[in-house]
Parts: sequence; C-alpha cells; structure tokens
Amino acid sequence: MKRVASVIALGLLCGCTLSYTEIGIRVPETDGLEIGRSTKPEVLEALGAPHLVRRQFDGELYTWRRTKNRRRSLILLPVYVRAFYYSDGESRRDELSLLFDREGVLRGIGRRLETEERGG
Amino acid sequence: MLRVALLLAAFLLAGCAEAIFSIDSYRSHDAYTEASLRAFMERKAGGPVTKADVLATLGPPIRVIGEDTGEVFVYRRLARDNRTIDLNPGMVKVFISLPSVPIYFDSETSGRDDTLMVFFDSEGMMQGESVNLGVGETRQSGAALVGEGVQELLR
Repeated sequence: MKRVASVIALGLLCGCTLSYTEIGIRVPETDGLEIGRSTKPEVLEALGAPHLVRRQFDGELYTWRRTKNRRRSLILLPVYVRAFYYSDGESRRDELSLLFDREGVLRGIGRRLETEERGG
Repeated sequence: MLRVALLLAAFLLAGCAEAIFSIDSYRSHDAYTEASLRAFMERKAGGPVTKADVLATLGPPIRVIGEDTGEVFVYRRLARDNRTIDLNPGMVKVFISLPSVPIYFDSETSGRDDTLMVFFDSEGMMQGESVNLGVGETRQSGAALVGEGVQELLR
C-alpha cells in the first residue's frame, strides 16, 4: 500500500507533454516521369498540385512537401515550483522538387525523404 | 465544495511558472547529408554543373533566393540549445504570489547553422557555392553540450 502511494505521489510530481505536428501529405513518386520529355501538364496530372511554385530565370521549380515536427517536454514538481523543465524539438521533412524549363519540359528532379527513414 | 475546487484549480494553474533549471533543445531537418555532399563534389569535379545536377545530388533546397543575375539555392540545418538556471521566489506560488526578485539567473543560448548556398546564372548554370559549417563546431558552448548530450541520450 505504501509503495502504491509512493508511486502515485511521484507521478503527481512529474508532468510530461508530447506534441506532434504533421503538415502535408505523402510526397508523390516520380515513376513514369522522364527528364527532357515529360511536360508540366503531364506531371501535374500524375502528381497533383504542388505545395510551392518558385519562378526561376530559366523556368520554374515545383515543390511537393511534407513536414513533421515533434516536441516533448518533462517537468518535475509541476505544482508549487518547477524544479526542472526539459523540452526538445525536432523537425523532419520530405520534399520533391521538379525543375521545368521555359517551355514547360521537365529538366531536373530533386528528392529528400527524412520522415520515413528516421522512423517518423 | 466550489471553494475547494477553485482553490485546487488555482494551485494547478500556479504550476505554469518557470523552472529553476530549464533545458530546451531543437534540431531542424537535415539540409544535406555527407553522401549528398560527396555526390555534389564528384559531379562538380566532372565539369560545368547545371541546376538539374544540383537538384539531383543535393536534393530540393530549403529556400530559393531570386537575384538580378540568377538564383541562389539555400540548404540549411539549424541547432538551437538553451539552458537556464533561475532562482526566484516569484516562482513559488502558495496562496499568494511572492515578489519576483532574481536571486540567481544564468542563461546560455547556442544557435548554430550549417549553410550551403549554390549560385546560378540566368541560364541555370552553377557559378559557385559557399559553405558555412557551424553545427559541429561550437562544442565549447555549454548549452550546445547539454543539448547534444540530451539528444544522444534520447536516441
């Protein structure tokens, strides 16, 4: 009984928070896209609307993005005075960028996947 | 009964004060990896580099800056660490608030960036690049040491 009371008392002295934020959907696959051949309408039809469009001197850069943020914190003695507060946060991002030339033909593909490979 | 509940709620809200010892740590996504940098350097050694080559080797940039003569692709990762020791009677909330008088306050923040910028001309040909590595080079900072130690423990 004493042990249970001690565990409950200890539990009351600590506070934990965890927060996760996920913005965007899974970054699309680029199967079937061909550099130098695929056009902007074909790409948009296959991949859907991008998250970002950035104008370039030599064309445009279309970007699909998913971001995951994680923050966790631990508080000791949360009622009368906090003796210790710890918080750590991390951000991970999946991103696909497609470069089109002025004629709207696909010229380059850039991809970075962080959320899955790091167990996010 | 209502009075007891209100008193209890006041106690719980009082817990939202600052802590005596605080650690806060943040790591952004990786802007680039050793493998992607190596691929980029190998491609660069092979002759003129296009925007498509940079995208293929380094991946999508975090930011694109438009300049009069072309674009700049920015790759960046951030590390932020803070540790604070704050001894202050104002943090103790029992029925009445004690005056907020700092007895001892010590705070240290360490913010470091790794930044790679790749410059292009108006035709999308690479003109040069600039690198600033800070994340791994500020280990002398106490806040950075605490932050990185905690990150390692949690891995």
